[in-house]
Amino acid sequence: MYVELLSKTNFSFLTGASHPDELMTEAAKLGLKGLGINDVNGMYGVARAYKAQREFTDFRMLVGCEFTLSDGLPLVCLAQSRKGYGDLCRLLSISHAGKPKGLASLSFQEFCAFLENSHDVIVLKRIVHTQDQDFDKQVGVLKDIFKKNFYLVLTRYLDGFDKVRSHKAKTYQQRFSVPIVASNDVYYHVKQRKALQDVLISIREKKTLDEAGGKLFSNAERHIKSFSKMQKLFADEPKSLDLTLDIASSCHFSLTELKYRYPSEWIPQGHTAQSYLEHLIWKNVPTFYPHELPAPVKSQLLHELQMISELGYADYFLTIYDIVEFAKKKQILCQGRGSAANSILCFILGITAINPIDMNLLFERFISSERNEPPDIDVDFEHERREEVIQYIYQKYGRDRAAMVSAVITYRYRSAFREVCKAFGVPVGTLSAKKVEREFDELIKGFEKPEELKTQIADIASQIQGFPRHLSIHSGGFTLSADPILEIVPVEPARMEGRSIIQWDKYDLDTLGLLKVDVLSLGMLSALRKTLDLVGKKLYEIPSDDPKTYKMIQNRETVGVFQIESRAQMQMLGRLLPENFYDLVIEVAIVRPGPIVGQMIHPYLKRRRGLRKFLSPTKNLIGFLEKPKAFLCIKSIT
Amino acid sequence: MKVICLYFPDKMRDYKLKDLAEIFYRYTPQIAVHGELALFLEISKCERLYPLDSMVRIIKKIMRQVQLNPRMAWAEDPSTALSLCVYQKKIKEDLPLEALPFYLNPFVKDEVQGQHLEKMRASFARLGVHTLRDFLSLPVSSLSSRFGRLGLYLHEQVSRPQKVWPFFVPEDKVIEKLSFQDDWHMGNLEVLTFYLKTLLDRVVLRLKGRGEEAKSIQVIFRQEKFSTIKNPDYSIDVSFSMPQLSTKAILALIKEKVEHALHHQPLQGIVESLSFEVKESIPLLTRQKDIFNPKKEEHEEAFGTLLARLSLKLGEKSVFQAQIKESHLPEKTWRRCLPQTQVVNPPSYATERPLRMLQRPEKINACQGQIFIFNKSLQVESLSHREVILSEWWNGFEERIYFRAKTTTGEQLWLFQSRLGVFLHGYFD
Repeated sequence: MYVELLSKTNFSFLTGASHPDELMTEAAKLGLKGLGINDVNGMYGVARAYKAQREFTDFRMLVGCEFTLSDGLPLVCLAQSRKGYGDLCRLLSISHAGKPKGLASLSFQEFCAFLENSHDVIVLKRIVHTQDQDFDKQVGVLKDIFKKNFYLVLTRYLDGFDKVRSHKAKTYQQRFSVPIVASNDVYYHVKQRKALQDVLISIREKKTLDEAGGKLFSNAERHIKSFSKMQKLFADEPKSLDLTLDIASSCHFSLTELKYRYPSEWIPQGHTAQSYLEHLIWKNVPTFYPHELPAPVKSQLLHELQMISELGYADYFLTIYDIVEFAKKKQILCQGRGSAANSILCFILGITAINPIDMNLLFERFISSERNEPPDIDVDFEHERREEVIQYIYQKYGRDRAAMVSAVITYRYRSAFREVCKAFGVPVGTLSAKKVEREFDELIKGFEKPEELKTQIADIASQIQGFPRHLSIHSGGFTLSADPILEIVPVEPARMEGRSIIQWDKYDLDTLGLLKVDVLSLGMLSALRKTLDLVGKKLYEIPSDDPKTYKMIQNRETVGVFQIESRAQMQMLGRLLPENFYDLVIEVAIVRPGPIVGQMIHPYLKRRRGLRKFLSPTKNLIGFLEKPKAFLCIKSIT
Repeated sequence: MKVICLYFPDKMRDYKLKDLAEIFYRYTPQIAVHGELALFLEISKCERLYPLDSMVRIIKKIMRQVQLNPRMAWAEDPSTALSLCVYQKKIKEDLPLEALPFYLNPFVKDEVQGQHLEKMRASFARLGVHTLRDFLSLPVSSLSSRFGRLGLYLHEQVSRPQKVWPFFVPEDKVIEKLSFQDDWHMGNLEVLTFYLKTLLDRVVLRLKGRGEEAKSIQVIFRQEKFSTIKNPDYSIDVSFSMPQLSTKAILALIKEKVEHALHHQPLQGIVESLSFEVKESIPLLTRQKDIFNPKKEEHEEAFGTLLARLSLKLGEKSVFQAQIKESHLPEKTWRRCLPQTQVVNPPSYATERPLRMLQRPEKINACQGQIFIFNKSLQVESLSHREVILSEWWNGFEERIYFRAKTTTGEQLWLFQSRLGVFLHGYFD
């Protein structure tokens, strides 16, 4: 059997031509024992690959990366253990530090010096056919430092240089006693992706396909090959294939080992996170219920605390509470939103302003043991003062333990279409993507076989759709950790000065069970703050059932009113005639693409006016379905 | 400001001063012409490249080449430079008052003001003022009272000349003509070569000045008009596959072509004039002069001439210079290029290719170890050097699996297999 040690996902931006899950699925389908994921200068694709790998039994994922060296050919590293992984993440962060966004490199000396004492990293160096004076020197040094953990990679690209590389491999083996390991140095999961990869390289190099020349691979052999195919290719080097299994078995690190610990040093002594959370809850209860705690509220509180205890989310709630408390102290207007409003606990802690018991909201929409998803509390802050909150987080947890989450910017069809056009030499000039698509027939008038060209471009553009293009800063996502974040995920500089981001986005964090805190900014909160200052009132002093206000809303006098000021909303207000706060919830939720396209508006209005009855599938659901008139898809916005 | 003036006292035959000015366009862009009388070159801006003494040497050399012998002088302004040339003086102050019109406007002769000036000069003569030294010593106030604005203006121009230079625009076409004083009958080709060279020297100098290379030249013999000659212009077009800028090279090419044309269709009458017109030219690719290896340039020039001569004989499509192009497809690894294009090193991604490669892959029949090439059957002994190429799929090319096939007769063929069959692509020696 065999394990492919080298493969790049499409998170090796504009280089790899397959999604991580495609690579994992194909490798498992071909019966490989495992697959090494080593993206260029990052751990970008490992989380998604890990998600795909979990679907297969008896199939391993080797976590690693490829380091770009300023004075030599790239080196691939695989993590053998959690410590090795941490070392790689740290070194990746160093390689990115102080460089423009998206660029990273190390000198050979820096690489060796950092990993000199790391015994849990496998180092792989590809044998190349070209002459390189430093190659010999570097092989000698790497052998001395990494000893048994250093391998030379022999590839059979069928590019006419296989014999040259094989000859070199033998020479190095004899001279330095370095073991030779086989690989196909994968860039895409199936052969058919060659065209896509050529186009990606053209886009990367800013050249047309015709001009790209030697930058493109000469053939389509860089896909995942079955064991039998590799056996044929390496018939003269069977040991090199066996060695891949040895390496794979020595790499026992898995991303499941990334045990996440919330920073807890600020929790008072004698308390655990859970006990402190409970303490805060019972301390705050009298503020909201000064006389007696109603039974339904108490039972819901206990239920929520029980679930949080079971799932171990107490730290998360405490962190959010801490941030909200800071904002309150500094008189920064903030508000929790989204599904967190379904939690009485969030209400009691002051994170949200809506009592879910009064509104009959479902807690399981927020946290559910069945869904096994970490909770997501979105908190909006005044947009002009959010930076104060961000600086507080950095100050409290330190830059080594708090980092902003990235957002993966992907290609949309239209932008992909424009880029592919450029690769094919279509003169798009400064035309926008929209115009290129519209004027495409005109642009390709002079080309031979325009119809064929159109099909080719459209086909490749649709394949590129969804491919990651670059990383950007998430609108407000923070990840915090008790351990240095640099050992969990590499951190790299963002375009914005002074900002650094981790190499994973929120979906990756979800996959790995890492918690994210959203510190979002909202311009309307700043407006509210200023208005409240002007009228000299507190937010909670404003009643939610003022009849005069509802009268104005029914009369569509809502210009400048957050959420209900658009023409579509104003039109709906006249038909829905909101009378209370829940009606406003319905109003905001129903004027959205889903309910409109799903033709739910008219039936809802008819049911609301009693012109049509709704039927519940079971009696148990009547109470629950009555309020939204059986339209469950309505998104509650509170 | 430093100005060199070339003064042509004798009227030039077949030569316009504007054409001559083009020659100096590569040395300085600040050029002006005074009718057919003088040529001004402002050299202070290019003095670091061409100091005065070397500029003078260059001008003298060029004048020898074009067989002209102008007077030359240099000064701080065009008026003085021209005056020094005309009156052959060394110092400005020694110039006679006859030079005053040049201070009025050195580039154009001003007839109206000239008459006033003549009167002024006569008055000065009566007053004993004969040179510019005397003129400059006159108090300005007396000039204004006697001669008004013109007097003041002249005094200012002589003491501190300030003139706006006219904008020089080269001719659209490079045309050079040589008229024969005595009727010349095309009899001796050696004599023709002499005339051709004279004209070509001018053409080449002008092209160099304009920063161009000749791609196509038309030679026209204008014959004396007789009733028997339908078209008095006998023209021969000479186009070069490689652009040329050497008199020697162009002369050789034109001579061959003219000899060939005259041999097949002789001239019918007496030739009145001979002219050259550059029909097509391309911008000259300038580069650093290799002062340590001048022979390299000569070699390149000779190679270019050889290519041009070959293409004149064999046709433009048959002779060209090629350059390496980056492509994985073997037949697309070169392209036609200009001779002075930068040399590209062979790419490192390509492996060994056969010495003789077919222009297009030839489909062959292959069956059980036997291949049939051009009605010849060959037995394949071994296949080696497997190489897979899939490139330029966007141009419709499909995957090829190449092999080096060794036949029992010792030939080494480069074959490939594709979806369309087996193809022969080259021979290894």
